[in-house]
Amino acid sequence: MNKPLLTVGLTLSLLVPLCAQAGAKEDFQKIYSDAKSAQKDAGDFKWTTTSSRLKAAESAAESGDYDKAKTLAAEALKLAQESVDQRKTQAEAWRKAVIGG
Amino acid sequence: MLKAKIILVAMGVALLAPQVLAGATPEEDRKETVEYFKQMFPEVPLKDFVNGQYALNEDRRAQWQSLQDFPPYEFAVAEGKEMFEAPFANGKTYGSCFENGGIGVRQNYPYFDEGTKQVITLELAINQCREANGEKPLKYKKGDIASISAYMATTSEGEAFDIKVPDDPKALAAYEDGKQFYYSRRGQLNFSCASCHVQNPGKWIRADLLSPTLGQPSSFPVHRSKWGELGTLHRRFAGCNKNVRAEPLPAQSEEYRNLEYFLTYMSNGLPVVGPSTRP
Repeated sequence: MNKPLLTVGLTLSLLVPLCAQAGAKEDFQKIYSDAKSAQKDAGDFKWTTTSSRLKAAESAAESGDYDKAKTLAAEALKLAQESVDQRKTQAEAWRKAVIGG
Repeated sequence: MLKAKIILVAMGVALLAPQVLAGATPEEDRKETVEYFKQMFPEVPLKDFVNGQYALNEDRRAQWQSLQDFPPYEFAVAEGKEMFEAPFANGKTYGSCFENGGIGVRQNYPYFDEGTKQVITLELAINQCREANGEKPLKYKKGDIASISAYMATTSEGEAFDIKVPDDPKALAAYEDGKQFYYSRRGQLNFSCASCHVQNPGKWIRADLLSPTLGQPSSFPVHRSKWGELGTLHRRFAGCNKNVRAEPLPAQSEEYRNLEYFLTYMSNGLPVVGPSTRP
């Protein structure tokens, strides 16, 4: 039996999932940070659905499930961006709804 | 050629004038709002708008009137009176902080304080009074503050709201901020306060009958069946925001105080009828 080859093979098989997890963690952190930033940018137009996704993403990350955390953070980011668009649109659009306006 | 130019200019002025005039002042906004709801509900007497959905639906009104035989907020009002009259540790009472000892003043709140350049609601004034007398502030949405506010409202029963926007750009800005909040769509459901209470009052949204803008603050604090207790207007604001999946703002935040300022100004001339009950 080729012992060195076996050792290298085993080491690699252990490292690959760890590397993949490290990538998922970094991806999550980036998306989560972008989502938090967009949520802040929404000002007083924040959505409750964004907040709940962000909390769920944090919770998944704390339990080490970075794939799930990344998915939830991406959902939060999308919702936060929509709320920012709403804030920007409503800065003028509200006038059209005013009685007598 | 000159004639054509004159005609074009005249047409431009004619098109622009209504936009410039529409809602140019708070009083014009209020008059337009009153007229709007009078036209929408010609059978409802103006003063009945303070009863919200009960002014618009006979069945609901009958249920509400029977509930008023033994109003569920009576004990809270009695407790509010006791707290209002009880001396603080320094011997003073709430009455020392308010005009006329705090009796019959509800109709003047909220007001714009020209010293601090901010809108002062009745609940904020109650807590400012506490803090000025060395007491801890109360929580703003329910409990003792709702009871004290409810008692103070009873001492103004039937008095017409008389909210003023003084000749101060910051007062007008606070009013305009409140107006903008009321008409801005928020939350994932993309609803504004006006989506329900200007565009669709009298219609059902699930099991709720939507009330009109006019008279909305008159009955607060209210005892809601849903809450099983008295709650303040800002508690209701937060609830409405949550309903449309918008993150609610803190009670007595500047945004909610400005919203209350605009909303109550719209009800100028209508009587104080708080506290009351709502589903």
